[in-house]
Amino acid sequence: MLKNVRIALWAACALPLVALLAVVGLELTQGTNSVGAFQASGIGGPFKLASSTGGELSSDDLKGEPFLVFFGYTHCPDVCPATVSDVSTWLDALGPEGKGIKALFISIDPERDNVASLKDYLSSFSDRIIGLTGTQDEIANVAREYRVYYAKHPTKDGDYTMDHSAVIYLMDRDGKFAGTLTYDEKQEAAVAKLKRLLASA
Amino acid sequence: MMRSHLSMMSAFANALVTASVALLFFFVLSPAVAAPSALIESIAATAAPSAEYSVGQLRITAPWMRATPKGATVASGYMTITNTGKEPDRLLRVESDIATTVEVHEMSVSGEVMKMRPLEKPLEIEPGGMVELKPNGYHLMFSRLRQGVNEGDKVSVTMVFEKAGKVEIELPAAGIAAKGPANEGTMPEHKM
Ligand SMILES: [Cu+2]
Repeated sequence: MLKNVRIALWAACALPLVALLAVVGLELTQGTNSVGAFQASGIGGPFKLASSTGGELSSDDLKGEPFLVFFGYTHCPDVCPATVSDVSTWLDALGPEGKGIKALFISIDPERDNVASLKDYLSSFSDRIIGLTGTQDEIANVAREYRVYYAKHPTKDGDYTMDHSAVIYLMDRDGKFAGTLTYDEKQEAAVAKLKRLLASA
Repeated sequence: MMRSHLSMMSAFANALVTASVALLFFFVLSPAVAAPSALIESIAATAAPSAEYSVGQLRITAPWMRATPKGATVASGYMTITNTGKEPDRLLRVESDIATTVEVHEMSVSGEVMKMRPLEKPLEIEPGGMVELKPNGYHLMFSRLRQGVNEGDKVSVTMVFEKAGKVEIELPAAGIAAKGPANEGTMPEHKM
């Protein structure tokens, strides 16, 4: 009798603990990989886009090199320049060992962002960041591959703003999805993730 | 009887707000007291030693913006607007020589999707309330820039409020990577 009570008590204590662990575990995996592991394998794919460094850059050119890629537009006053400058800061913080990581900024506003304007824009940040743009179809394609949402939102004065995913993808040497960084990621965390990406074979 | 009691209370609350704003300024902005005197002379409204403006019952503090990337056609400006009065006020119009239009926009991030929208109605500042224009939130949106903004620039902006009227302020430009006003730029964390 007493034994049964004891077991019941133990169970009563252990159950919430197990539940808590499960929740914490879930949050941990989602924290490091906000896209969710079940989707991860689907992120990424082949592309060939016009590059701010001249000519074209394709996913084939990136074989054997890890890279990070994010999407935005130059007519964005806030999150985009902040992300570009954060990425620059992280790459700088990596130092020479970070030379192996390429950083791609893909415009989801190809109507306004051409190679020349991307080049100008990025020259204010780091020469490590490559700007990519293309035709509407090419951009739609690469966005679909990376599960990036974007949409044009017209404003009253005939202008428009772009809604878009603000996530930064980490891709490994084989062009496979290896994790994410968020646009407000803390520097130490971001640099640690980039180091891990570099270290992965 | 009741009324005078109330107004005494609110006077006390006002004093408290004023004192805490002043105290905040002392701590946050005191290293940057080197505001150009020309700037202060040009403003009829206030004579505070650092970037702080008063117009009617409104107080505008910590105005700033970021330097713009090369070729940028847009920029955003930030500040805190406090209403020390007893009536709500609204920001009707903003103008600046550096841009064709200046509007109040709201930036929001839901999930991973970032959105930016012009406000449908004028920005309202509640009595005794405060509205922060800051990265990833409300901002002054400068569109069709006529010139780029460099670090150290002071960008003149005219703001017209429904009740408080017109005030001319200057937004000092911090570096392109700044997360806050120049003297706060090195603050490591800055939770949303
Ligand atoms: Cu805006």
